[in-house]
Amino acid sequence: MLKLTKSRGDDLKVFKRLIKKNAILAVLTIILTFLSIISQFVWTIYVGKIIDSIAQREGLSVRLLLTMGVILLISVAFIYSSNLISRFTAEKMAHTLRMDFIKNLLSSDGASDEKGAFEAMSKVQNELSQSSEYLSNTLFDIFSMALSGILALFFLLFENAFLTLIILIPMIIVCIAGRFLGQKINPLVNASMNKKIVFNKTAYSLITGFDVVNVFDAKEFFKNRFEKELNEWAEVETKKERVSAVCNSLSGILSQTPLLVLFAAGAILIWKGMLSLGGLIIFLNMTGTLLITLMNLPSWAVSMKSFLIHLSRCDV
Amino acid sequence: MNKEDNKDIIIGQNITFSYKDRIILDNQSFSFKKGEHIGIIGESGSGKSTFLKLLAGLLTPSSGTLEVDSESDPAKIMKKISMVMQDAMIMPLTIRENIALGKEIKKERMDEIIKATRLDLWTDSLPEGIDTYLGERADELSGGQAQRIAIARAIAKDADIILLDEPTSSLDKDTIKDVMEALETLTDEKSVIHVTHQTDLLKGYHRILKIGGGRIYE
Repeated sequence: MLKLTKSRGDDLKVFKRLIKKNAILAVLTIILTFLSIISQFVWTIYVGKIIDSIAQREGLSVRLLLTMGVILLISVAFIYSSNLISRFTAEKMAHTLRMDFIKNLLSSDGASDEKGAFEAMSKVQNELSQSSEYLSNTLFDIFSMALSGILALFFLLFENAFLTLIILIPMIIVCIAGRFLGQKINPLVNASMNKKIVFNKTAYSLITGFDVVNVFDAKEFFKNRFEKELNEWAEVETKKERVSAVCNSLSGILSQTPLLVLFAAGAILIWKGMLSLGGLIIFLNMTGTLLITLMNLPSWAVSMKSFLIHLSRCDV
Repeated sequence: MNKEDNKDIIIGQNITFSYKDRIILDNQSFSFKKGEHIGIIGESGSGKSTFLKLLAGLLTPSSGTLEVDSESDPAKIMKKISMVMQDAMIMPLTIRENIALGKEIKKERMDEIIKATRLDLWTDSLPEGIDTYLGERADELSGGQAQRIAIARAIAKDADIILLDEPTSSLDKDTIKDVMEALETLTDEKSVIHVTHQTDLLKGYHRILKIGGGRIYE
């Protein structure tokens, strides 16, 4: 029998099983993703070194350039192989999910016949396709971005804890503001979408149900109804666009504050000799990664939660 | 059928009609009496539904004359008939609005209709009863619920001629039984023309006609 309501622990059960069944690939993906991120960080460090050399009017040594060339090649190799392995692992996990579902279904008491299996399959068709799609297109991308953010945070703390903590404050403010502004827009987006669905449905009803409308002399009724629904949608849509424009402007301005703080604090530290120009470049490069991770964490958490729920419903 | 009233309520004379390059009726004449219950059967694609649309005034014959309750103007014919189709056409409105379709219906009359179609078994369980807004989920109603609303709509119109276009074809056996009971209330003492491929639904009908090859015959 299909279990449609589960506890949080149950939500993870299928996911854990998928990881366990593809353990080698999963571990390989994690290692390669980790190495590709580290190799990019090393590349950024060396870019900082070059800038420092230029700023100090030192020549660029052949050894430095050769080392950078090797790092670049290693980085490309890691990125390529981590992408390849993560895609393959995702597809393998999606395949395991579908095959396990069919196998378990056919061996369970409730659906031993082909018809029962087909009915159960059609019931979870949506869950299966959503889970497979998430596995194939999203899971490892999110994992890679989240890992980049976390590693960037530790790396920046190691490089210059003071500057990192200073830029973290506006970043957290930006994230909270983004969340708050999102909460202002979301109900309006939903309301606008629902109104649109309703008037589209009415328009569709008018076309497909034209005979009913004629026989029941309801042309005038539907004309008025359609106009009313269209006006209601236009009202909500205008409000949504207005609020959205305000929120986006605010969000746009706010998102620049970490950069401004970084420039201001970085300039002071360089002036005091506590940071090199190359160090500031590293910070400029990595704060972007960190900000993207911080800003997207809530939506990643929501999408992951929804994926786990879809996944748990595929369990039989 | 009311035996006292034996007049023809629908008269078609020398009607020819083609639809999508196919001849549905080729110079055919027919008449249906007031209160008569007629079943129309035929192969898939023979034009059963098209014939019903002709009778409803939704389509106009290429030649010949059609008179429905002494009216030949399609707009006036439409006022004389009520129709329940295969697709119940539930709109994103409340249940009440789906039944009334903009007409003013007194509360007592609406209550009668709701009871007659046994919609009350469902609407009584809804917090807002028949004023429940179906909204964008209008097409998620069960086939039985949707057809009951369509039948209620037809009862509300209170026309003397009822046209039924396979109203139970997409329903399961149990739901068909329920919907047929609701249909009995609608068709009682009315002239009925029922297009169907389920001949067992036509038990007790006065006549069963077959349509096909451009002809309509007993």
